[in-house]
Amino acid sequence: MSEDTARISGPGSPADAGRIRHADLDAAIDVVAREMTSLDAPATLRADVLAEIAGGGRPGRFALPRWAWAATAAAAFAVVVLVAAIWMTRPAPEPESSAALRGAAPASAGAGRTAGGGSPDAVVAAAGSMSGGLQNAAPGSRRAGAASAAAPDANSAEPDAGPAPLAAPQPIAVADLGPAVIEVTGIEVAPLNQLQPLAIKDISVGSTDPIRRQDR
Amino acid sequence: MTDSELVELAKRGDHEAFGVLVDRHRRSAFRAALAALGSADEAEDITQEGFVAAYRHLADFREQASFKTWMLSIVWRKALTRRRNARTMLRRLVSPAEDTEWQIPDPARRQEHALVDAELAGHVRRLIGTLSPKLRDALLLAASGDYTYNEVAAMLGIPTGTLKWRVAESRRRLKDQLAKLGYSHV
Repeated sequence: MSEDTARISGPGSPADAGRIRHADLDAAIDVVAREMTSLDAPATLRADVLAEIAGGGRPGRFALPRWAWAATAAAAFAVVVLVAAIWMTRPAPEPESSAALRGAAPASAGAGRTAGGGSPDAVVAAAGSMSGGLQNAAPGSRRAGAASAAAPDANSAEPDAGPAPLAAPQPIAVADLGPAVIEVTGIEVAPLNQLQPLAIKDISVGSTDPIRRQDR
Repeated sequence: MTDSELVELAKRGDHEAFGVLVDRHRRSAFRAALAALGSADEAEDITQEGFVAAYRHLADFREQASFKTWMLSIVWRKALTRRRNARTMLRRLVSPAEDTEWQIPDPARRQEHALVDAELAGHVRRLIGTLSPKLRDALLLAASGDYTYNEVAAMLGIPTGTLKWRVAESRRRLKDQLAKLGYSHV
């Protein structure tokens, strides 16, 4: 086959103008398909194979050994379980109002120590300092009063008192959610009522409509 | 020395005999893997794995087929497994361009390639990439010139008649697609 007859041109070729012989398309497919697998194996393949056979060799460049996959999967699972456990056991976030009250507690406690010397009256004194804050605030501004109550009062707190102690955690009382115990003192089994026999009226022979015959 | 004789030596632990077998069949094994994977690096890796697996299972080789056919079947199965794994699929997803799927042809083929218009060759290459894997595998292996129809059929695990139908169907579909692009045949 000469080069002219074997050459395959595209539709833009002026010579062929898109008319290509059937065999030429087959030849083009053959050529391209052959090209797609026409690389040669590396010359070092024999040495690599023999080295792997002799000494266990290197694992494939893209493949991890199975134990590595298993270990990786186990580690990933453990991490997931750990994260889930931490997430499930963390305390629920407190609402802002309770957080503000907790912030106000040290200041109140400090004021209480100043006024009452740690006596039970400290709570009353702390309440008094809070009300004083409210009185110092502008009239009609309850928000400002609340803010001054929540903020540590530099005038009322002792200079050497240091950081105010945190409020002691209170035990959480959890009500028993289980059902109440049902006590059964005695069981009486009463006999069932006897069924009354059903009364079925006779149907005369030859009747195809028993209901109408009964009505009559 | 024939393949059978080399296999017998290799079964007795002769590594060098197996090395001769590797040299003898590495090209066909590599090209089969390349047809399945389209990547020279992965094909090399799979070819090596295939030869090592063949050596470790030489005792199972009963010579019902030739060593080459048996060896190619092992490489082909490994290549298919690699093709199906998540990493390979991800790589193809990231770089789906058909031109990156197969390597540049070797210089020995360039003269043959010069007979085909570059634009048409590009179309054919792209269209081969769009064929279903079954049709594409059959076409590439049959067209490679490294195997007989029987060897390819054994590799794919299908009857020879089915293989021939797949090759013909591949050609028909490619020519239909080329006709839509203006490459009509007379």
